[in-house]
Amino acid sequence: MTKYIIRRLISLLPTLLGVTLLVFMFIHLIPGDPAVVMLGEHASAENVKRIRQQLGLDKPLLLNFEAPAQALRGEIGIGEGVKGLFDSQYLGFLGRLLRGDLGRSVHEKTPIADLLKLKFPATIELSLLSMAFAIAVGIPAGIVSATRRNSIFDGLSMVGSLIGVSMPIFWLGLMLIYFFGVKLGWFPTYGRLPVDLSLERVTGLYTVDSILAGDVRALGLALKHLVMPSVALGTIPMAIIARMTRSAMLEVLQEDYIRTAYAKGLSERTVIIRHALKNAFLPVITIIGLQIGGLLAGAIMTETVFSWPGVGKWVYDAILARDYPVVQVAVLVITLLIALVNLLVDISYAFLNPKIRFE
Amino acid sequence: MSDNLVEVRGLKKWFPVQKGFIERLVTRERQFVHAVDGIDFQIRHGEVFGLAGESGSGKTTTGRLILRLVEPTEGSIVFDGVNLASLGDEEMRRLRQRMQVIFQDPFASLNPRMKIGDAIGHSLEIFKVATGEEKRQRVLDMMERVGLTPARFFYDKYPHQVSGGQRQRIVLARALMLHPDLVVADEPIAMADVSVRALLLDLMLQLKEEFNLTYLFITHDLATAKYICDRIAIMYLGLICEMGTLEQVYRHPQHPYTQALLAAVPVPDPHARRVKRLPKGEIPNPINPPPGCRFHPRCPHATAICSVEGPSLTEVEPGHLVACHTRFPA
Amino acid sequence: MSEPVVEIRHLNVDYPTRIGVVRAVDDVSLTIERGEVLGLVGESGCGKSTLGMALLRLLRPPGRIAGGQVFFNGRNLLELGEEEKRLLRGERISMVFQDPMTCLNPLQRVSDHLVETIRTHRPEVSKKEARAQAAELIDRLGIMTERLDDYPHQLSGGMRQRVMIGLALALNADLIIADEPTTSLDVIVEAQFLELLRELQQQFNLTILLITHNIGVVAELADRVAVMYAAKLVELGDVYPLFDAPLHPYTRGLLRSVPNIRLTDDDLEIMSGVPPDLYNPPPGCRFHPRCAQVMDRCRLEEPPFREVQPGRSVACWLY
Ligand SMILES: Nc1ncnc2c1ncn2[C@@H]1O[C@H](COP(=O)(O)OP(=O)(O)OP(=O)(O)O)[C@@H](O)[C@H]1O
Ligand SMILES: Nc1ncnc2c1ncn2[C@@H]1O[C@H](COP(=O)(O)OP(=O)(O)OP(=O)(O)O)[C@@H](O)[C@H]1O
Ligand SMILES: [Mg+2]
Ligand SMILES: [Mg+2]
Repeated sequence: MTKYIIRRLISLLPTLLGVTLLVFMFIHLIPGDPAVVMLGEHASAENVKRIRQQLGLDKPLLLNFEAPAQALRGEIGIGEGVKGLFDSQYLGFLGRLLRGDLGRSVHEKTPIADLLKLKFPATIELSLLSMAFAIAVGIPAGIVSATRRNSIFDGLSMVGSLIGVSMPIFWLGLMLIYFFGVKLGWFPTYGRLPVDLSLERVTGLYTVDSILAGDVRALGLALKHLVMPSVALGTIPMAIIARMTRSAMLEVLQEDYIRTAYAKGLSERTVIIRHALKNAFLPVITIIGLQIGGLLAGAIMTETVFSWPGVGKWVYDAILARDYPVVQVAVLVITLLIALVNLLVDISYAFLNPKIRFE
Repeated sequence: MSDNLVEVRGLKKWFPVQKGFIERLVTRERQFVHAVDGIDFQIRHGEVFGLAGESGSGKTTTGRLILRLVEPTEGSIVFDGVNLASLGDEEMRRLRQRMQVIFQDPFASLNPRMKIGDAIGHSLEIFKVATGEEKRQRVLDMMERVGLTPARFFYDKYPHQVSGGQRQRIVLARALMLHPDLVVADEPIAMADVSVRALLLDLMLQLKEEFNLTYLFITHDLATAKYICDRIAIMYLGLICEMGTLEQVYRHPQHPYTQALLAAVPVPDPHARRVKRLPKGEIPNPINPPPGCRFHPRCPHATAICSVEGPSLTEVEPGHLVACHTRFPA
Repeated sequence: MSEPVVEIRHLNVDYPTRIGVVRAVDDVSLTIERGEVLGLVGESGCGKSTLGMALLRLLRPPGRIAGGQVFFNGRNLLELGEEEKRLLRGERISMVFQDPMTCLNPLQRVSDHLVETIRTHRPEVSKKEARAQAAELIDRLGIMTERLDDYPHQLSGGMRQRVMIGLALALNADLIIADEPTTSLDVIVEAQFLELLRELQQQFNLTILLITHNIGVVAELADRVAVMYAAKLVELGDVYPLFDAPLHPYTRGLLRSVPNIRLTDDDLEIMSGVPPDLYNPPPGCRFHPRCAQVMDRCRLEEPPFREVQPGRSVACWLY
């Protein structure tokens, strides 16, 4: 098992490298020059040039062929020429990354690492809570639907989940804001906490921090802020999990070993929980893993709608501002997260399935 | 022309083991299922050649190899003097008309949306032998012959509208449409109702005479094989362990496995309740077959050599071949 | 003579479906005596499994009992409440299904299967004790005790079927319903399993309802034989007289149409026709369209199932 995990982690490296390369290429395809965006439309050409130089945007993208060419012409030494070949935007970024330097935000003029520390926990907190919501509602709904097949509950929950799957996040988010935020005023419509509330930062997860600080009021407020974004973000995975659980349960309930379990004299409850659910859980767990990937993508939308100061909104703003270094780091972080979650899912799958575990 | 319609030499088929994603990452070496692991036999013109053995011994794979539905890993198959390996796709396609197959499950091999008559006559169209009214007439004739009567009544029905026994007759009729030389019948009656099996066997024998057929009859049921076969080969884990005429194999079985298999067949007669010694254990995994004689871990007569060296098929009397060290030391 | 374990009286079982009601068990009466092996034979779809599942009150939906009575140890099973039915299952009546591959929960170890059965019905038994009992059981069934913690997929087909029998033995069930217990096994493993079953039956005086379409298996193991045809019981009797001199033309045809490896003259009796469709069975005797000795009466009137010799019943106008 350890061997397997190590292998998987190693195989992650090329993936991440590929992702950085892809992201790098794509953001440079987006029209718009960061220097111009920073300085405004009417900046002088000189100023733009200076800023480009500062940011290293004047260097070639992948490889600097100018340096070896110069070396061949004898303008600079061979060693310098070879070294100069690698003096490009991309390789420079990689090099800094390897040294643990994530770079600086062009827009906010702060080290990206500091920003990341600020934004990352917000996204984690939101994702965890929406996944918890999706699982806590989706799985029981799927089970009840399957065991009371064709009942009114089944019908309602399946129609509901169909709507849930096809609902665009931003629309759901806006609806939630309109009804529960504006009309009813039950929940705050943006941010993580009221601006005037101060909380000592330990983990960056405000729910955890408020518990650590023993601040019940802050905990309540943090949760209140979390409700609507979590529902918006968790609805699609919840609906998918519910449908998947239902169909997996229906399939398992047809199995001969379920009949055997009844023949043993077990009660229906025991049969469903101990025999059916455990088996149905295998496919469901794969789906949950896939949903977490989708969740992080959905986070961009949700965080934007709810002005949630997390990685998603950060990426969104950074793209608008052509803040290349931020986009790169943020996408890398999200990719890493998705890959790790999938590894975790595969491991737990192997752990739950004896066929994989022992062969 | 030789006596033999089919000659199989040194035939092997190894299937690579499909491994899960995870295992592929963890293990390096590729594993193979030794489905058929080097067999030789001949099928003579006009005979019923049986292939029997337990599940997973490689019977179906052998049948599919002869039909060239799967490519052999090693070895050759000569059909009526022609080495199949030497044929191109088009030649092979033409030769296919001369070899037909009947599978165990007639339902699975019939297109549910095709009328029975059209299903039977399909091959006539594929090979452009007959179309239209001529095709219809030929199909009706064949339906009468296999007992699908009244033929006109059945012609326009769909497979799900007829019984299992009738479906097997449809499959038979379809196989015979092009007047093949060889019919590979893979467990043809296993799915039929018990009371219909005898009828189907009898029909197969009748048709064999009428159309001059040669059968390769694949079965795991030795009692059925005894009823229809002329010669029989017993397979165990991809190898033939005994082969001979029905009389030789059933009356004087020499291989301990054949003996065990014969003793194990349930007899429909309470007076024949057995008092017997059965071999221990079950058929091992074909991925890592035991070294030496594949039967030695279960064999009551096994000696030291059996676990080291695999015995080869030896002729112990004319036409009777056995692969066993202890009974017939080379 | 002691009271029979099971007494079935005029049992009817229906499957209501979209295209009509299938009566899969039609007016069947029969008893199973303590310590006997009753073989129930018949072709695919004639209602054998349905009869077995009706005894366990575990019919697959939409199946339902449409009439009759079933007495188990003197109590009418059809009047039991849910909880009583549940307690009966596994403890007093145990089931061995056809395909041991799919009948064991793939996520449960052998020990889990056995311990669960024991502790469901004997909650006072500690886990450790139940485990010890399980180990003893599989040892008796010829499986090494080291395999107690194996998962089903690690066992061979024969071993899985032994575990299924172990579930039945764990609580000394009064009745074991074995539905095609050997159908998915290879001949040699089948023979090994039948041998084991016979040993256990004699050792523990088990009562077994052996459901199968394999005439050879019945001949091997049964004390009495019941023959079903198209949802009806057509003949019932001790195994030797029934095989020696079958009365019902269907029984005769069935027994003679099975190839016997021990006989040299292999003249099989060939039955014409096919088993009827249960959605609209033929009127009169259901076998009459295929019967060589058919009489006018057979086409119109249904023959009653009655005792024609001591211990021998048949439903045929010839007798
Ligand atoms: N396409 C395939 N890929 C991998 N393994 C295969 C394939 N076909 C067959 N095998 C394996 O080859 C072995 C022989 O299979 P085969 O179907 O020939 O046996 P058989 O004697 O016909 O058995 P049965 O009585 O169960 O039909 C088996 O272990 C089977 O799992
Ligand atoms: N769930 C069901 N719904 C509708 N009809 C059913 C159902 N289960 C069984 N039947 C019908 O009841 C009849 C008896 O089925 P049963 O399974 O008892 O037969 P069997 O004798 O056990 O056959 P086999 O040898 O194939 O197991 C069949 O004709 C079948 O079509
Ligand atoms: Mg096969
Ligand atoms: Mg059945």
